[in-house]
Amino acid sequence: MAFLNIQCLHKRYADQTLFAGLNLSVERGQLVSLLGPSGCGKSTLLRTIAGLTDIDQGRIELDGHDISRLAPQQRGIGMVFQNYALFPNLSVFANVAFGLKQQKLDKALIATRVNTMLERVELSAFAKRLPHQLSGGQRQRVALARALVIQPRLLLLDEPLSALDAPIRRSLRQQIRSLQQELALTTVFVTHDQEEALTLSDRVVLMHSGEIIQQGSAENVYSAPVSPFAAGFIGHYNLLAGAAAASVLGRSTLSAIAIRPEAIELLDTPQADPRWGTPLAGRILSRQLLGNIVRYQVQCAEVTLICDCLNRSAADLRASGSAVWLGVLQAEVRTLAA
Amino acid sequence: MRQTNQRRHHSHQPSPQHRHYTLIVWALVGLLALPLLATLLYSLASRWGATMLPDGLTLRWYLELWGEPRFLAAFARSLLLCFAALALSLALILPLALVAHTRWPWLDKLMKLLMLLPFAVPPVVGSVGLLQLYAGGPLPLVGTPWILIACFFTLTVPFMYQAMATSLKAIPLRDLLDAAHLLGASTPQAFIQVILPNLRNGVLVALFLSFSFLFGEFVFANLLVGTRYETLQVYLNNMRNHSGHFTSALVISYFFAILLLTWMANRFSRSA
Repeated sequence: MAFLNIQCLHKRYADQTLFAGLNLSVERGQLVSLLGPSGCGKSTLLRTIAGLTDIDQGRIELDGHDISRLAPQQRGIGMVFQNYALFPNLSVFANVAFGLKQQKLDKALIATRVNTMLERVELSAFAKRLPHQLSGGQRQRVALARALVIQPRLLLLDEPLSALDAPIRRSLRQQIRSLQQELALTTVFVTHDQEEALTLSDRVVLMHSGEIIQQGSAENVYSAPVSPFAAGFIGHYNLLAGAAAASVLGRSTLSAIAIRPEAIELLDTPQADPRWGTPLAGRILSRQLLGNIVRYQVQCAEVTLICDCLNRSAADLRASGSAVWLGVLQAEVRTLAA
Repeated sequence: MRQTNQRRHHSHQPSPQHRHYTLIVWALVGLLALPLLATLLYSLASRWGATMLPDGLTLRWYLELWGEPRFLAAFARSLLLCFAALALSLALILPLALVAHTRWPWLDKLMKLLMLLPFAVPPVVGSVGLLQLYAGGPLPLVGTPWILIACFFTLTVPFMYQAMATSLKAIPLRDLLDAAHLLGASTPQAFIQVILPNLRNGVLVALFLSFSFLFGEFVFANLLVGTRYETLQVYLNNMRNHSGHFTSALVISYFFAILLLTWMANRFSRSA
């Protein structure tokens, strides 16, 4: 039985339906990412789990108990907010101790637990500082410590890294993952960043307009999108339908297809291969250097395809306008549901 | 090290432009302080008639003033009215501001309109209306301190509400409350432990500003209550035919009280 179980969740706001019978389950100790564009309902879903937003119908179970009608204080859930939500008037120590004080624990025990948690997030030296005296990354670590110190049954992270710059985001992402695994803490992580979701999660749940479009392991969601939306949101898939799809596949097809940019080989000669069959002739329209990857836009008859190649050496780079042959790896072509 | 010290020393040298600004500021301070200094000197003069300078200096007027039971009573009444109005203001506007910024945002828009009323209606016009309303009928409040407390309360609304609204807008109120709730705090606990400390500065400044304003209020006090509940400003008006030295001592005492409060306000807001 799943540790967190959401059944048939309905929520309307004014005249807009946010969720119409949404179901989601999370196993104990898993980190599940809710991934989707802004306004898809992922943060609202997180708030309904926390009890900060009421639900109209449905049931939310945590560890076998119905928590749908419980107040946020009674759910035993820790949450980290996008803007940290640290209490500006309280020191780092007092912020982390806040939840334990509400539980009316012994002062010495509070001090021990807060100090241990501050050590864990490497902020012991900042215990006396006020939130405004910390950097963004440090503030988010305080928020994480504050949520973890109460030993929650479930941890909710609402886009905790989106306000931080790239290097801090990467290191904090790693820190969150190792803390989560160390504590075996069931966690729901909301993000709109596919890279974040793919690198952090045991399971990715892709959402759109209040519905779950696809869920599964990071590998599965990335390599086998089930719909044009999933293919468009995760990666830079080439989405083709009708005549365009037929011209690339070399046979007619009724369904739309999705091809990952890295599943197209750039060839100098039209060499046939069982993996891609007969290569397609093309001309490079543009080249984008993305660090270790070079992204080409290639015109193949009426179709424009995006191809990603490893940036091995400057000598291998192809100029705009040059003729190339494309080998589309047939095994990597995904047929999408309409 | 020497270089650092030199640089530090150099950075503290005021530029000529900076010196000009300082001069202008002090000239303005002097100009504004001049009437006050003249009043102070007059309140300390034993006699100042046909001569350029006073005949002598004395504390006689201050001793006479602070020994005068009618003055002390008026002072106490003014203090009492101000404190009562401010307490009422705090008790009503604080919850209102919190509700307007958490549950019913439309209240904020309504308050923005209501805040203009004390400025839109001149005190004399307001007093005439209040006199007609409360002179008789079911609530004959004219001549009692109650009407002044209520009236003073309305005067504090713009200062108090604006200060609270600004402080509330400066913090992520919704998220702070949510975070406190998830950490186990009830809504009253969250307000007391997390929200109120962040409003402290703004509220204190608004309180002292309102106090200074109310302590010097004359029009409403004179027209609605007059000598039936004589406040400090009404007493000053009634003593205008008494010795000028005596009334000067009264004005200086009043200014000193306000100065003391302003200093306290600064101290409080700095330590908060």
